This record gives sequence, structure tokens and C-alpha cells, in this order.
Amino acid sequence: MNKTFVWGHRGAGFRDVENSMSSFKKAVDMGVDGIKTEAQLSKDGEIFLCFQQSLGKNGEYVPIKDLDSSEIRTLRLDNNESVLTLPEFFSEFKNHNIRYNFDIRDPEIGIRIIEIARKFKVVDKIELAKTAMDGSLLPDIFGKIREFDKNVTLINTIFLKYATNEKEHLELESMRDLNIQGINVKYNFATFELFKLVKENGFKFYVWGLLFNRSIQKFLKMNYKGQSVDAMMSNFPDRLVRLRNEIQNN
Amino acid sequence: MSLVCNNCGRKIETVSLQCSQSITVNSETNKWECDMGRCGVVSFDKFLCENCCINSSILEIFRGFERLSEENQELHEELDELKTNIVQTKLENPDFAYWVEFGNGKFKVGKGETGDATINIKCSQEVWSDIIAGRKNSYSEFFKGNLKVEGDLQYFVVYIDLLDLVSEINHEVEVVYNE
Repeated sequence: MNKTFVWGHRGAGFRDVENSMSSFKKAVDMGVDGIKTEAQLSKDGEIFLCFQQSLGKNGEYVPIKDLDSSEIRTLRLDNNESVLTLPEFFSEFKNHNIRYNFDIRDPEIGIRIIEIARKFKVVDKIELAKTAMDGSLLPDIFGKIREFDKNVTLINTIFLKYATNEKEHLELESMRDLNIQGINVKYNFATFELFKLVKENGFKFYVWGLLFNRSIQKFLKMNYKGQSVDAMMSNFPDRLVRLRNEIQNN
Repeated sequence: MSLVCNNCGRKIETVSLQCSQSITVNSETNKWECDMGRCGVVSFDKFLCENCCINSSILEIFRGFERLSEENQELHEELDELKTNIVQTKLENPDFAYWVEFGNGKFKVGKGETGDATINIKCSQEVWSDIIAGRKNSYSEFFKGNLKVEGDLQYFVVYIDLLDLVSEINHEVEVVYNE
């Protein structure tokens, strides 16, 4: 049986300052298999790891796409660290055997991530995911990216608006056409029936938003024809790693 | 005789059949009273109209969650893991406000408004009571614009997940209690 892959959301999201270097290092120390984060593109084409699409500058919020990287570098996170760039992130973890999953809102961001990942020779370790707040159709977000790179791993995250009736919004046909490898579902809506449907169609099944012990345990025990949930994401990755090791090692 | 809502002062035009059947005279006070089942005996001067009654019930549900958080170890442990957030909920039609503070081991509820909210929720009474009852999904209502959220969106999601967990534990406790 496959062991569930553990993603540390924004590093160790609720154990440190999200998306900071200290949070990413903490998650790796906790034993995660990969780091899940968000990527934004600056005006001059630099990728910054940040959830917010706008950052505070002189008392007002300015979209990151309208800021130069030199301006973003002057801003500080709550722990006084700077907002990380993708090259800084890859440089730090190049000697660790971990994977990287990036939420993207725009195909251009995905293409830039691939270009940088190629320079660092880690393109086989990256995954690009649609965000749960994005109602775009899959060809709109992933079409150009798939043209640019035939092999990069792509993940379809179900738009939260359709969370209660995912089956109608899985876009399975587009997933096959674009070779999108997995589906990411918020845990409250990740039913066994959906898991079964996704596995029967040959895709990976990811579950996100896990915080509480009982829900983490439930998904670690979920099994269909000897297959576990492929990956789980948490802001408490230490819990997830510990429970995964306890439950799935037995 | 006309009944007036003790909260909003509106005249109560109709009383549901279930309530009407329960109206009795209290022989000690010589006053008419209504035995409203789960709510106990309510004298006419404490009567609420339907809208105010729903708001009162919502608050009572959250006060039940507060009590559960003090008694249930699993819930207490989960609340210990979360940082403190204060959620201000403002309902419309009729207007009603209450707040919930959760995190650092606590789940506290209060009526009215607080100036310290980290998350602000605004919606109609109908939508919110449907969400609480599980008839509507909060995310769908958010994207439809029926539920407005300001503040830390990530912790709004945590709050909704926490309410799901509390309801689940509450249901399990009630089942065990009833058995």
C-alpha cells in the first residue's frame, strides 16, 4: 500500500510565520515530504512566495504585479524576514529530498516557475496547482503551461464554490486532455465515493485543509483497493507526519 | 389580547399551533404561560417573535458549544492548538450581533459587538441559520455573495471547520447521553 505523501502548507503554517524561511525549515525538520506554498509574480518577473496578491506599502495595499522586486525586498514579514523569492527557496533546499507544490492564479506564473526550476534542475520535483479560490476552467489556467512543458505535474484543486457537488465540476475530460495528474479536495468534502471515483479514473487524490486529529486519522485510514489517499496537506505538518507514521507503518 | 415581542417590541400576529397547544394558566402566578418544550415555561411578558426567537436559538447553540469546549477533552485540546481569533457575526433582518472568541484553549461567546474582531461575518439571519443547521454550505454562500467575510480569510475557514468539529462532537455526546 502506498504511504500518504505529507505536504507542509506554507511550511509549518500554524507553527511559525507562514511562507517564511523559518517556517519552511521547520516543516522540513518535522519530516514533511514536500512544501506547499503560493507564488506571485512581480512587475519585473521575479517569483515571490506569498499568499497575498497585494502587499502593504506606505499604508496602502499594492498588487504584487505592480511592484518591482527591489520594492518587495524592502518589505518584512511578521518575524522580520524578507518575502522569499523562488531562487532563494530552491537554493536553501537543493540538498533535501523534498518536492514543491505551488498554487498559481495565472499561467504566466506557472511558466516562470518552470523556467526557474529548470535552472535549478528541479523541474521533476515541482507541482503546479490551481487554487481553491479560482473558478477558472482547467484549459484557461493550465493550457499554456502544458504547451510549455509536457511533463510538469499539474494538480486540479476543486473550486470551493462547488465543494458540495464536486463530481459535476471535476473536468475529468480536460484533466485527461491536459495530462493533469491529480485532484485536490478540501477535507470536509472529500468523501469516500469521490476518492473511489478519482482513483478509478486513474488520478491522484489529494486532501487539503487538515488540522484536527480525527480528520487526519480518518483520511490516513481511507483505503480503496489497497490504495491510500495520495497526499495530505496541513498547517500542522508535525501532527500529520506523526500520525502517518503511526497509522501507516502498521 | 395581543402579544408583544419582549426583544423587538413588535406585535406578534400569529402563534404556531404547537405553541398554542401548550398555553396554560400558572396557578401560582395566575398568569397565562406557554410551555415551549425545550425552552421551558416562558411567561407572556418574555415572549419573543419568530425572528428574535431564531436569533436567541442561534446564540443558545453557540453557548452550548462554549459549555462543550469546557467539558470535552478532544475539543479542548484542538482549541489549545489554535491561536486566538475573535469572530464578530452580524445578522440582518432582523439585526443581531454576537461574537465568538476561539483559540488558546478557549471558546467564548457573547451577545452584541466587540471592537477586537479579527474576522467579521455579515449575512442574513436566514442564510446563517441555514448554514448552522447544515442546510447550506458556507463556501457556496460566500462565493454567491450571501455571506460577507472581512479579515483573516484563512482563519475564517478554520472557524467554519471548527464549527463542523464542534457539531460533530456535540452530536456524538448527545447520542451517548440519550443511550
